[in-house]
Amino acid sequence: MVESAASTSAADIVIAEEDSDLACVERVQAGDVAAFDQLVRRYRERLYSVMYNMVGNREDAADLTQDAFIRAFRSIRRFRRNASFYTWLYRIALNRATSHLRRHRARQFFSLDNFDEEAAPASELLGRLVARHKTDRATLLRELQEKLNEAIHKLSVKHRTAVILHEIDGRSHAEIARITGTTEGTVRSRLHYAKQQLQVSLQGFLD
Amino acid sequence: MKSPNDSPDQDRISELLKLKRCERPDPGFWQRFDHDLQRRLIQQAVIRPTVGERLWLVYRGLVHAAPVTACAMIITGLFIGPAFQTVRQDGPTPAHVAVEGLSETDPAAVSGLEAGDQIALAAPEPVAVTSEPAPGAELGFDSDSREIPARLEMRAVYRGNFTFVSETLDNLASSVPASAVINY
Repeated sequence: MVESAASTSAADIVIAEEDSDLACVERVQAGDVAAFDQLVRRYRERLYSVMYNMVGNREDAADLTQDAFIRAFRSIRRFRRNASFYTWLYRIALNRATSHLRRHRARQFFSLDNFDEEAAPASELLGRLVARHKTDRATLLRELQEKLNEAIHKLSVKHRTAVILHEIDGRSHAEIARITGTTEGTVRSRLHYAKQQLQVSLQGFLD
Repeated sequence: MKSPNDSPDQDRISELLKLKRCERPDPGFWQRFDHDLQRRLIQQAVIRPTVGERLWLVYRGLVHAAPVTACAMIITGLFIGPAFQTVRQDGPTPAHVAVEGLSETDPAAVSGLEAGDQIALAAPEPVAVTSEPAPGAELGFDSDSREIPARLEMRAVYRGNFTFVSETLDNLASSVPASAVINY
C-alpha cells in the first residue's frame, strides 16, 4: 500500500515535470528564448552525467552536452508533443555520444570528476570492501571509481547506455525503451547481460 | 530499480554503480559551462543562416553582379579588344623576302617559294565573301595548275604566322599527286 502510494506520487511528479517542460518548449517556440534557459538548468546536470559516463572524459562530456542543447534549440520548432522533451533531448545527446565514440574509438582517455565521499552512502558492501582491501574508505572509493569506469567502457555502447540510464540516471525500463527506441524487454535483456559483464570485469576487486 | 531477475551478485553491481552518482565536476564547472553554452548559442544564431536565407543571398549576389559583369564585358569589348587586334596585326615582323601584291590567282607567286622561306604580307588582304564558293573552298587541288586555292582562307586564319602557312602550302603542293583531289 505504501509502495503503491510512493509510485503514484513519483508518477505525478514526472507528469508535472513533463507539463512544465512542454510549457517551456511552447514559450521558446513562441519566441521567448529565455525559457530555454530553464530547460538547460533543469537537465544540464543529469545530461552531463550521462554523457560523462558514456565517454569517460569530462571535457568531451561538457562539449557533447552543450552540443545536445544547441541542437535541441535549433530544432525546437520541429518538436511535437508526441514525445516528452527529456526523451527527445536524451535521444539527441545519445546520438551525438554514439557518433563521438565511433569517431574516437582509437583515442580514449579518462579524465574523472571528483568523488563526493560525503554523498556516498554508508553501505554494508563498502564496509566489507574496506576491510578486505585493508585501506581507508577514501582510497577505496577512488580505486573503485577507476575500476568501475574501466569496466563500463568495456561494454558495448548499447549495453553501456542501458546501464548508465538505469543504474546511474535512475530511468525506468519504459523510459529507456522510449529514449533508445527499443522495447522494455530488450532493455531488461541488455541490463542483465551488461551486469554479468561488469561482474566478470570487477571479479578480482570484489572477491 | 531492482529487477526480479537480478541475482545477489547483480545487486552488488547495482549498488556499486549507484556510487557513480556521487561524482561531481569541480566548483567552477557550471559557470564555465553556462558561459560557453551561451557563447555557442549566440554564435549559432548569428553565423548560421537557414537554407532559404542562403539561397536568397546567392540570388541577391547574382542580381547585383549582373550589371557589373555586363559593364566589364562592354569595357573589355570597346577598349581592350581593338588594342589586342592591333597588336596581333602588327605582330609579324617584316620578312627577308617581301612579296608585294601577292594575288590569290597568281600561282607562280606561291609555287616559286621554297620550304622554309619567310614571307610577310605588306598589307593582309581581306577575304572576299561571296555567294559563290571560293575556288578551292573545298580544299581541292587543280591537277593542271597545281594551284592551291585554300591559301586565302589559311592566310586569313594564320595572319600572325605566315611562315607556317607557306611551309604547309609548299609541302602540300610537292607531295600531293597531280591528279589527286582532296575533299574535306
